[in-house]
Amino acid sequence: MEEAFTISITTAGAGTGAGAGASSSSSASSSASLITVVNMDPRIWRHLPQGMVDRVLAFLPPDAFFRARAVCKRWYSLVFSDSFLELHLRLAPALPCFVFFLLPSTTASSSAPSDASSPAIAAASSSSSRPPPPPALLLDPVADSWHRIPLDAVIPPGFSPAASSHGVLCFISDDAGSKTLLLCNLLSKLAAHLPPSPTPRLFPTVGLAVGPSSICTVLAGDDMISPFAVKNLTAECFHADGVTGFYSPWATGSALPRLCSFEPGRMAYAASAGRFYGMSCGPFGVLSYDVASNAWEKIQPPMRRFLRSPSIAECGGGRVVLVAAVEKSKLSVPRSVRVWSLQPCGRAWSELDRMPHDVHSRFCDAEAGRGFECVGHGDFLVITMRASHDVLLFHVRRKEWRWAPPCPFLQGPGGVIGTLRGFAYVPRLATPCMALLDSSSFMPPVGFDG
Amino acid sequence: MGKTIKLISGDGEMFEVEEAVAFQSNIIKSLADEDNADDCIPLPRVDSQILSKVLEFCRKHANSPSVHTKFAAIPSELCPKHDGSAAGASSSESSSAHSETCRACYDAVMKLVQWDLEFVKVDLDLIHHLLKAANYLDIEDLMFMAVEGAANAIRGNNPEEIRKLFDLENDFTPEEEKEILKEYSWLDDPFEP
Repeated sequence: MEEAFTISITTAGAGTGAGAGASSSSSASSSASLITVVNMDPRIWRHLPQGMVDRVLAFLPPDAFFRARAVCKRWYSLVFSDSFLELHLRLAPALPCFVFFLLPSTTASSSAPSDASSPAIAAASSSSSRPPPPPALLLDPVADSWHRIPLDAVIPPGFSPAASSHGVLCFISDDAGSKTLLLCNLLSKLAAHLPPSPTPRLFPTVGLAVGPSSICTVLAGDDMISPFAVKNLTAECFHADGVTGFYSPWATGSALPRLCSFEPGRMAYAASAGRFYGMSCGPFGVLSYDVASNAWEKIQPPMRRFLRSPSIAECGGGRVVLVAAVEKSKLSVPRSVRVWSLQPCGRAWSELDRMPHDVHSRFCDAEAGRGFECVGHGDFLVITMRASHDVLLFHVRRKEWRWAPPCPFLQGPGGVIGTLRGFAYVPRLATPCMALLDSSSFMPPVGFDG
Repeated sequence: MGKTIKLISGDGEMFEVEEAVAFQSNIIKSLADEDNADDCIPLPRVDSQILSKVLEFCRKHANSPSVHTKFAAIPSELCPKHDGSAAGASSSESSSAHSETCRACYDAVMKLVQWDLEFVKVDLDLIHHLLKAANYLDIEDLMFMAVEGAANAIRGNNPEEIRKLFDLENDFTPEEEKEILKEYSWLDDPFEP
């Protein structure tokens, strides 16, 4: 299909039809940039080899790609083609995005609805009274755009979002006791469940790390030592690796350090260190779980006093950051919200940045002391506040703070003000790690009766 | 100036460029290695106008890290700030540590990325030719950028416009088409039902 180039040049001026593009690159010296190419066969793109067309398609952002599926049958079926998915996995730029779920304000401190006053009652509630999962609200911080992905046909009621890794989202069963985790690909709408975890827990903290052919998930804390009492005693790990053949379905247990808590109930994963990190309060410290050695440790680098609402996040390159509000302790120390980076030795925090004055005053108005949480992805850190729909972005390298555009899907009249819980997300058509789960564990689409 | 390579386009024009520029193309690199007596490499499939544009890209990228890797492993030698004063031969570990924290490297790469994006913000016909030239000459970064440029150019198009561009037939029945559009109605639906 290769053919000789035949171009007839008619003008050498700064663009007639080719306009803006040509003239902006003309600032680079070459006079060739100013040449307008005309008299082309308008259907020249059909001569492009199929492989190259596929490359262009693999590069499209998710919304454009799905629109392109309506072009013809071949393009529609690309999503089912292994070779295209492989190309996509290799080529598609990994957009650092976030998905948010609107949770009712009262439940913001735990990962499941707490309309039950005790675990026993929660277990007894019938499935018909459970609300379906809220839609995933996808934010692209670079394009500043929002998309809404409904999940009621994918995730059954009685599950709440708990963790994320690359293109996979993890949901956890709300019922107290043995926990079922669902792994879900938002774009392909595939969901599969893990075997139930052995230890009964109430609202454990979940950590997830997936690779192209591996799944590692950690369930920590909230061991139910009796139907009415919980304690942070143990953690268990589900680990499957397609390359080495390692398969440990919850067989890897570990003991948590004494006197730890998991506020705010999240764990971040640093791939370069092979470790999960979470915040522990009372006293403040960082809990770290090393996957390879199946061991927990408490890291307590010196921290400022009078910190409020601390949370741990992971930014690109395995950098672990702490975000917290510094409350006024003396007249000379004003209130601020700061970001610290954990030094590679793990023994010290160094301040990365703090909110500039104008951002901080708007933040104080929106947050009003209710508390906030933080999640990181690539170069971005995102802060969401209890009972507020505002989303604050911090670019870690450029040290720029800005507010995300308001989410158009939360603007409805009479809407409940809830809390946005965010997760790092990479839109991925294919998440091959899910093939590690038994085919029988894949969920059929949820019917209207749940 | 360093060693130069002579390239001859399909329409007979000669371009003389530094090795570092020309060797961005793996094809040119392997042809040059074959020890041509007269040092002139003919490129019959690339016209002078396109070759000129390709060389503009190569000139910009001659001494810069690959766009693919972004800051994954910028050797300290390429850092505009540290400028050769970095100690010894850096291992890949210290390279990535360097680029993680070096603001100058980050800024330099971002500038290059911006330049590249502007470079491919041209009409689709030119992108088409750049794609084919990058493929023929095997220039990884240009291929990458041309694909991105093409994707950016068509991302706003609706299915009918894309069909016209690629000369594809709509082989769906009207019912099938309606089903597909319904399946992805969440893309365009801005309001809570």
